Amino acid sequence: MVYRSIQIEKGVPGYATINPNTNTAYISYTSSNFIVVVNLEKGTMDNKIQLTCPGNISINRVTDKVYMSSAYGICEIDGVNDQYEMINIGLSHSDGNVDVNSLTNLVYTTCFGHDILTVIDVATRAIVDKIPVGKNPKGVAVDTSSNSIYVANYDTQSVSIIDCYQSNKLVDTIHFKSAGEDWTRRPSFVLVNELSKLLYVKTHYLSAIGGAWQREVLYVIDMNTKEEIKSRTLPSNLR
Amino acid sequence: MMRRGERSILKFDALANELLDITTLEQSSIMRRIFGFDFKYFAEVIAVNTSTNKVYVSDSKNNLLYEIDG
Repeated sequence: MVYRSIQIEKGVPGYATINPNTNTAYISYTSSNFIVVVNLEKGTMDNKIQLTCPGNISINRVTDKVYMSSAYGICEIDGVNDQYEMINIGLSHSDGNVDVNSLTNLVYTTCFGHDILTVIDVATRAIVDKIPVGKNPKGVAVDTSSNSIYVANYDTQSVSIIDCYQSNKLVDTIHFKSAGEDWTRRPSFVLVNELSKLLYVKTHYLSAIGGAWQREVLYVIDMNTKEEIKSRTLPSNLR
Repeated sequence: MMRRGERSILKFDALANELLDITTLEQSSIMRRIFGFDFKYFAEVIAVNTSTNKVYVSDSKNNLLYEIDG
């Protein structure tokens, strides 16, 4: 049942997230180069911020700061007054993802084309670490309960697991590469459910020869055993 | 996601195993389906407010953000 509808900007939204503390939605329009801030209490669009190729959005629920990847670095929005500031990470930042650990106030970001995970202390704006991961990383997700990071390595066909308690050490890898298959499975997006200890990995299936697009498959993985519990082919129009 | 003849939001359990609920946003007419003008594409963003348990879904065709029951 639809309770109400709120007028938003014209365009195709790419990502959205909500800060439950402020009851505010943030929606990025990747191909239109802007994001909108929606006040869900009033049902109004409060702000529109120009940003080149905005990507996914992550919120620090302790500080109410909002982070999103863009072509020129990480954009930090103050959730209280919508003032924003760019954090330059020194890399071209196309098609990267970002996530924040609300407990440590560290931001983790990938850059497609650079095989590292960059760690930023947003309090000081300093890059505190660059962790080698697989080839062409895309999705990144923080598990604050274990202080671990999951990185989807698109071309290596794997998910790297990094333990931040062990000085950002790579502790495990979940492989999606199988020999003899007619397709390659490319992890593109990861999502952590800290309560159920489930990891969701969205993969692109490409033909092994020629790389033609086949389909998208969602994997549900037990974070304790790293075993696959379930896979579901997504309709081609589901993002 | 799009189902045949309608634009819908499907709610699955945590294991993506069981279909728990369907919220239909728009239905196609029989004539549209017969003449092949059915919905071709529906890919929108979905976000959940974990405090209020409300779900928000964009509708880029109409430039709207729907609030539905989580």
